[in-house]
Amino acid sequence: MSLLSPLAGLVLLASVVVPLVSLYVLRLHRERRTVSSTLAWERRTEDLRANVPFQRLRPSLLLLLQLLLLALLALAVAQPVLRGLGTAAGRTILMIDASASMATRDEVSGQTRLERARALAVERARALQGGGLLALSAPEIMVIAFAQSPQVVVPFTTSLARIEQGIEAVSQTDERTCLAPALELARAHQAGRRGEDEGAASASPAVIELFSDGAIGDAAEATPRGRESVVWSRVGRADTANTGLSAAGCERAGEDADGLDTFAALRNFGATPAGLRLELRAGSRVVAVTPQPVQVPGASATQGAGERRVVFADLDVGSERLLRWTVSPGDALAADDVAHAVVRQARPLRLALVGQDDSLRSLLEALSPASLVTLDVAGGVEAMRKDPGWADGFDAVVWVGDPPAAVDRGRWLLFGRPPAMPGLHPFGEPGRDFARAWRTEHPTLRQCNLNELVVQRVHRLAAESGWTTLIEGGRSPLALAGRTGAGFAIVCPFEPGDSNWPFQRSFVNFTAQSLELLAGLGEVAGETSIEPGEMIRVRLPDRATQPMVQPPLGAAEPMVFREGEAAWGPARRAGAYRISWTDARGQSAERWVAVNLLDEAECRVAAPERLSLGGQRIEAGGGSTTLEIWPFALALAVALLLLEWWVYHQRAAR
Amino acid sequence: MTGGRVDELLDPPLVAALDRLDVLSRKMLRGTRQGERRSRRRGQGMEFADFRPYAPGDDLRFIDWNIYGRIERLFLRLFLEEEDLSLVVAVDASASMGFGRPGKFDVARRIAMSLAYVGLVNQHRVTLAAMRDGGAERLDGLRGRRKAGEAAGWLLSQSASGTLDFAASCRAIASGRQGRGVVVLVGDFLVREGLEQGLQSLAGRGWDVFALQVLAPEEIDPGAHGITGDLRLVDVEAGEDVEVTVSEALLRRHRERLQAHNARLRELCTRLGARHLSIDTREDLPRLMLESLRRGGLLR
Repeated sequence: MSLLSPLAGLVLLASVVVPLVSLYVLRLHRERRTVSSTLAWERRTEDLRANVPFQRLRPSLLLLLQLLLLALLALAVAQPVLRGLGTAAGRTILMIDASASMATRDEVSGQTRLERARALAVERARALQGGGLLALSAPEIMVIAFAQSPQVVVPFTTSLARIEQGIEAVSQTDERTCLAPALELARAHQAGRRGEDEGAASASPAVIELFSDGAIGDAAEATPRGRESVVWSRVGRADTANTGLSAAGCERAGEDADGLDTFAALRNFGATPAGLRLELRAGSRVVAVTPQPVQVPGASATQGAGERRVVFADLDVGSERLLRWTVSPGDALAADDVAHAVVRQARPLRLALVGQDDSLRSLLEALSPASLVTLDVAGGVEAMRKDPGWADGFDAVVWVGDPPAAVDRGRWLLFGRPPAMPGLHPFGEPGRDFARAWRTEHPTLRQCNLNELVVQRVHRLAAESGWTTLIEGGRSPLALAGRTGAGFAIVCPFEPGDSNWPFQRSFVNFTAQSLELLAGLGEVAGETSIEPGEMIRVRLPDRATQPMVQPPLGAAEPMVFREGEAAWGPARRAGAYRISWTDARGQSAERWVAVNLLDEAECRVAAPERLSLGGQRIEAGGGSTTLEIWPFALALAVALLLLEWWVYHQRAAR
Repeated sequence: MTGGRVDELLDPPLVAALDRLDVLSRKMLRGTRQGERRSRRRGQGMEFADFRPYAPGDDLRFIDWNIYGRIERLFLRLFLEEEDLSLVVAVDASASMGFGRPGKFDVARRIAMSLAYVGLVNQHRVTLAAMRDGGAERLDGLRGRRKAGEAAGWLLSQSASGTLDFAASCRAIASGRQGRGVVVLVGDFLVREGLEQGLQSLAGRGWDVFALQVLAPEEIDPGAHGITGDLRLVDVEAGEDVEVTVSEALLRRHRERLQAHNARLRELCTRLGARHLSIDTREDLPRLMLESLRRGGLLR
């Protein structure tokens, strides 16, 4: 229970109790009357009124009732509220989850989870700040909105108007939830405030009140520290099911530059099977639909979400560059019911092979690239020393052996000891390993069976969340993919010669598909399909000017254009982003970037009952934030007043 | 006639009426038995005097069973004590008797004078006593009508003051003479303790005790006589006070407590063989003497 106006209650209690008790110390002025005997008169030990000092304070039922009555009135004035959340004391940080799952529309009121969270946060802020009608001082409140990255919406303030305005301004994103950076941001701001208040008594950490549906992908990393207090107000329902797309992509159908193969993965997080229809459009034209609903099995505890893949082969999409898959019927979360993909232009690859590996050389030559530059490692290092942007001249660079000095530009398929890259941490000694699991849905691993893969010497790596593990080994990853500054790399921390992979068909598939993927990235410096929350980076032709981005929602905005690369973002909403610019001839040109919500944690929208933050369990605070106690205290006070009135009159009637 | 100071206490018509009365004792002389007249002490016998209806507490030995056999009602035989009768009239002279309008002490003094006069004109040995401060101031040895003036003068010299230790005063009266005769106690009997001991000390010595309780209207119904509001009631004798807020309920409980006290006094008298009569100060004195006390068996 917390008090919204504790001082007002104390003031009332202190100002009334003393006079009340004084009244009982005062005596009633009574007229003195002599009688023959007081034998028949009953002694009255309690006065009903008093106006003359003084008498000893005697135990009195009336006094007790009146003190109780006053205590209840003071309690009511102090405005107690019962809640599972926080306290009005000190500072409070309201953290509002604005991730993709918060767009789920499953609240009883018909609101999305974010709308509900905003309403709860406003209610809570009012309760903390202005809820106490007689509160003399208001606590400071900060508002942080978080999804993939956190943002301070309102710094610590006592202005309720600013707080409400900030909360209402928290907008929906389709990003994944990353709570750990939000906690770090909160800690940083608290540290700043403590610095300002050095020497003051308010050294205790602020209470963090989390308004979220609990779909937090990095919950294991978001560990409250020390005396940090995190309370969670849950939004959303635990029984909300969801279906959607977990993957979508396209590739040229063999040598046929006009034919296009597409694939999509349908996912069902509900407990019961779902019949889903899939429609594919190229531009505004429907190019394929499933003839009948695809039965996607329900989720199970062991297998996870049910999944079915749908392939539309050899499609003629004409000159359209943008594909759009739509799942029907729709459900509570709309963002994952749609996915986009960009059809890249068909052209021969320009490749470079650095290092000695005959199997790779043969394989690359078999792909009939437009050009294949082969160098030894020393030659590769020298080329990069002379021109740091050397790798940008190729669709992909395959590097085997000692690592290059830097891979922050260009698109890389790296075999052997990996170079230093942000987010990848070597550990231990190289050793033997095998393929334990792999992402069959990833474009690089389609049609790959890695059951027989054994590696004699693997460099151990620990990857941070920015990296995608493609092949999991028994002890460390065998293949990863991730951004490297302005570049992109697929990293296999072993040389093919140290494994039996070159003798398996999966090695051919993996290498060829990796090169296709890397080459496709060339059109967008990053990925043709990025996830919400990431920056859009596009390498534009020489002398391109005035690049603009048109998000799926909202107005067009200019992009930052530097050294041939246009950047904008992060792209917070899923959808197709149109990049336009003016080329050297003064004509308008465009490209598309697909931003797809494919994150499993965000699509699993059933709101959990409890949250585990770094092993610390936090129970859901429920849908309502507060239960106001003061009306009950007031009602009890009225009942007590009636009882006191009755006792008084009983005594007066004696 | 009596003249003098008697007239200050008694009206002449009342005095004339009193001349026809005599004091009755319910007690037999030693050695007498129920219904017999054979015993005469020191050569004097007992003379049958009258009948009166039986009252609870009367000595069963004096019931006339012949009358009961004829009319099935209990009557008591009354005997005239032929030896000289001792009549002690003790008046409560404590401060509480000064209360009321008319004052209780004035009424008690007039009653005492009336009873003493009856005793004197019938040649009984009369003693007057004023009970006060744990003792009894006495005027002994009065006999014959000519002593009436002295008795009146003594009574008029008394005033209501001091406190009353009822038990001690009764013991002082009882110790004055071996009991054979009548003791009339005139007072308000509003005492918290010593009531039983006092009466026991008299009845136990053979006295025929008559308790005549005199209460003022203000005591019987204080609400009708200005006792209202928030008051601090001060006991005129004990000095202790009681704070009250007078209400109907409180007055009702006051009446109940007073009635309970009087009932206890009456029950005590019955148990000790004494008689009890309660009057208020507005009672007409001739009517009291000529009717009430005759009905009560004290006078005839």
